[in-house]
Amino acid sequence: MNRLTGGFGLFGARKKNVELGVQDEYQLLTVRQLMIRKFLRNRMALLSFIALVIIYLVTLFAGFFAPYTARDADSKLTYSPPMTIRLQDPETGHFHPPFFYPLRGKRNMETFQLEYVEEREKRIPVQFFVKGEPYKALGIIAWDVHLFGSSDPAERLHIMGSDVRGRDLFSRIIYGGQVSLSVGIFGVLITIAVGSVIGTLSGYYGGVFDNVVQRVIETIRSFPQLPLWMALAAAIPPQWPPEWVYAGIVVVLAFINWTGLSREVRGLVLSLKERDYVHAAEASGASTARIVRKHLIPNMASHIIVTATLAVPVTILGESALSFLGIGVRPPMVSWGLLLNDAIKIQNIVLYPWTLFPGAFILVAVIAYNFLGDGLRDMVDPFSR
Amino acid sequence: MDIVLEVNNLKTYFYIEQGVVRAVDGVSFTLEAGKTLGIVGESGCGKSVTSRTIMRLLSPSLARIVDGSIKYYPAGSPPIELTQVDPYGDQIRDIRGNEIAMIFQEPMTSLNPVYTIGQQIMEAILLHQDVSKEVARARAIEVLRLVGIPLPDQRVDQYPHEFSGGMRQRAMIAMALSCNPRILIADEPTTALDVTIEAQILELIQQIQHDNDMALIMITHDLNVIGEVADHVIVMYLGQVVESAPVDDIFDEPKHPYTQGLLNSLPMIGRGERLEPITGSVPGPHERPRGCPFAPRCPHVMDRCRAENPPSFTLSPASEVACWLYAEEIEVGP
Amino acid sequence: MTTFIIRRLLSAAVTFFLITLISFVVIQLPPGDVVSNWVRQQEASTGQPLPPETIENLRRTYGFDEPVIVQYFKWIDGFPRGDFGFSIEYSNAPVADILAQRTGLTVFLGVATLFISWGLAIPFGIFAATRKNSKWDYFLSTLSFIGISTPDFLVAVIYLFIAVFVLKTDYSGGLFSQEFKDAPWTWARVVDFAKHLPVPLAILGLGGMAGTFRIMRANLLDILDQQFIEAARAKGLRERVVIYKHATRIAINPLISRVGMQLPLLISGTIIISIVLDLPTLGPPFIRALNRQDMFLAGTVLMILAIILLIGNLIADIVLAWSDPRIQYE
Repeated sequence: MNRLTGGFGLFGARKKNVELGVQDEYQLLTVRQLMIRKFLRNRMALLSFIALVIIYLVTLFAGFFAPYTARDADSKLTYSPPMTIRLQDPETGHFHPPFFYPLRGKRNMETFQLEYVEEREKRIPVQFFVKGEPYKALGIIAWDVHLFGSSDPAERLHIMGSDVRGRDLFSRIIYGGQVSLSVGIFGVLITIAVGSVIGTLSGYYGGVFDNVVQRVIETIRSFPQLPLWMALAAAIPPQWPPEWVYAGIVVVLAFINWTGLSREVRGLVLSLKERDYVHAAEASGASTARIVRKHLIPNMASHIIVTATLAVPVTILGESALSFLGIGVRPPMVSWGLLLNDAIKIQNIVLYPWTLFPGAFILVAVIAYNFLGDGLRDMVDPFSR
Repeated sequence: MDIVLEVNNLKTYFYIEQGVVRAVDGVSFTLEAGKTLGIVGESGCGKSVTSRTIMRLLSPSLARIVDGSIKYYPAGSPPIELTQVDPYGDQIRDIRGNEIAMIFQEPMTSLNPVYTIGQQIMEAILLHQDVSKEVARARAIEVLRLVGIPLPDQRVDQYPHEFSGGMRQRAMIAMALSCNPRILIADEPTTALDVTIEAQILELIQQIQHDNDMALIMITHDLNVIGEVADHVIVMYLGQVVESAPVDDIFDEPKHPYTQGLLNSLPMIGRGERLEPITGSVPGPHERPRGCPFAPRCPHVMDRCRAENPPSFTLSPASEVACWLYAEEIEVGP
Repeated sequence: MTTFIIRRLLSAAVTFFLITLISFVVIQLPPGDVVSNWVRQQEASTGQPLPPETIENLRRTYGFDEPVIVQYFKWIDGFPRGDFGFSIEYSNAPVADILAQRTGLTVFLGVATLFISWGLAIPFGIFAATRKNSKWDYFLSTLSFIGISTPDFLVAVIYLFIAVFVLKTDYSGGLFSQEFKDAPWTWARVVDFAKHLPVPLAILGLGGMAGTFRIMRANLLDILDQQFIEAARAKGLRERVVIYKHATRIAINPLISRVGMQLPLLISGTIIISIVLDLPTLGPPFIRALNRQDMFLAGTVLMILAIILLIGNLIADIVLAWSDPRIQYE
């Protein structure tokens, strides 16, 4: 029955009227107000946006938020389980400032597994703004203060456990986020640049160029995405330094993504260039560059932003999948997918279930981006239901 | 006088996110067998919602019947209060399509694209009549022939996209007629059609109405259509009936300034006068006037109009008008 | 209809050649050629240099001494004979022998997943759409949103976690028990296979289901808004008949045309889950070949996957043309 009410979509209203019934109070809103209102009303999108800002800030200042660096290993505490930060002494019931009990490893002589028990005699305070290992904030400012950490450098605190070499998983997740999340951003930036330029050109000029581009896109898209990514990623020479490999992965991921955006942009240009105001601009002698700048880009920007937002999680997942399979970024670089590689073996999940933590981070980031993109799409199209 | 439908002070409100839309706000009329009621008004005046309320087609989660009654008088059994029936129940479904049928504005979209015309007509016949498939098919071909579709025994197996717009509307009419309804509601049946086709369809509807002694509700924004088919007319504006009168009175002596405005904006051959369109536009639901809904656009507006919504004044047994201009007449008169 | 199918076949043939070309380019991408990689590995494992004649022989057999374009034609020239090159990883076995059964299982897994995800997604989609904005609708929509956001490999890993800690099952991957791994097809093997199937199907189906559910719900909501639905109600049809016979029948059509978008995801999912769960599909040899630069094998797998996709799309097009009378064949 929406056909009957569809015409009223433009008006915002105060919620209470829905219940009150008879008094119809309407507010007339501008499109911009309506867009912002629609976005704010989409609580999940707003929440996701805030979550992403926090996650990005934490990874940006990884040195400060992570208690250790990504490479800091402790051979005494390999595969240590997550340690609990406590406020209450479990035996006496007394409250203390935050503290933890250190873990002591003992080899089980039957299974030969290292088993950890809390050493209850030793209460190690958790300290905030603790001096620890030096790092470079934002890559330039040398500093050694961490948000929190063990007050005793000899007794390490692993709130999410540690890995095979006794490296702090939580710290590695934060540093891994730098790679995982930035791959999404850089990959999408390349996607936008290549996709919108090629899409605009083939939409605006058409002809042979358009035909060739469309055929290329069709061929690339005739391959399933992940296997093609895998094949291309495997072609990155193993002797390259990690930074180059990282760049190579970004390019590989963008290699498929641009095709989708390019098609979308082409479609938009094809419809936009038949609009009267573009014809009018052409008739009055405006240059192509001016038409593209003044008429096409402003009209396509919102679509591109939405498509790009929704392409970020795809790219993040792509990197995670590749690194998870061992053909993505390479150590000593860390990424969430690479960390999850530890959990690829079923016996590791059984013995060290905390190695799944990076998966939770991937999930949160990807879901947040999807909700955000969804919210933006609704916002750009404020008249949709 | 053989009354088949009686609508009294019907109010249907939509409860949507933006607030309450008073789509139908006090509509009354009676419908007699074999007669045609025209409902006329601009888009958004509530004429379509009125018809869907009668058929109980509106989703109860969206639209509520706030007040009023709809009495349907079936042949030989006590009247049914349609506002009280369950919109998904058996009672209304036995009436829909069977006793009250409806044809819609868009012949292009009112047929299901993946079933043949024949399947869609037979569906209604098989639903309401206890007949075999073969009989239903024969009946479907018969009604298609009746509505003037050439080669009906072949076209019965075609899909809607193989029909032209006019042919589809004929097929819709055939579908509506397949169970010999007592009332036919036609919601702008010719709006989407060419003028020549429009005339044919109207003629067809009238002929069928005459043959079957069927009551017809013709909903339209086009006064020409009304002039052609209606016996009695109600003029709606913002969910209210502003004037209700026999068709000749509407054309010869329109009472309400809105009806007058509608007629003045109608081009007529040989009148030679200038067209006078109604000034302004239909207000949206957010700017609904306090008093008479037509006050902001009315050339005869008075202070009282802005403050108070006029009731219906009965001018003659068959005609009523909701306008303060006629308040004096009533108070002075008998 | 026939002309329509022929036209689609011709266009598919063109795409097929482009697929072989790209796959060949992928074979060529890593530095060095297949033979020198192989020689390097042989020499590393035996510690002895191979005689130059052997190397020369190999190079000549696969035409590595010739221009790249000739090599490409030599490679595709072998296809009709079932010759896709040789694999270093699998001790020089012909690629075709390694992949034959695995291709069949990949297709089987994909098709089974497709049917399972549709079989569940369509009823849930109808359920949610007919209860639009209800609690159930919100619940299912949110769940599906999380579903489409969760990558298959994470589902696989999470599943393993649940299987071990919650269900305490002994499923440890694979599609066959150890004793049936390389056995010929017997009834006992089929039973064993059927026992292993639910887990991978559940994992794969979940991802596909979430997306299909969302499309189904959105389609149905669009259709329910159409005039012919109101017209069907006005005939006096039961709400159930209106929903199932009139609305659902049409809402499913876009799902068929969306198979083209769903298949690549399905194939990608099958590959990565096969690697995690060690299923005998094309996934494990693919990753192994990529890691060891066993490029004939890798290129052929890539090509087979693209061809599965191509055929899938072709079938979907034909099914759609058959199911929707509005589609023009000419």
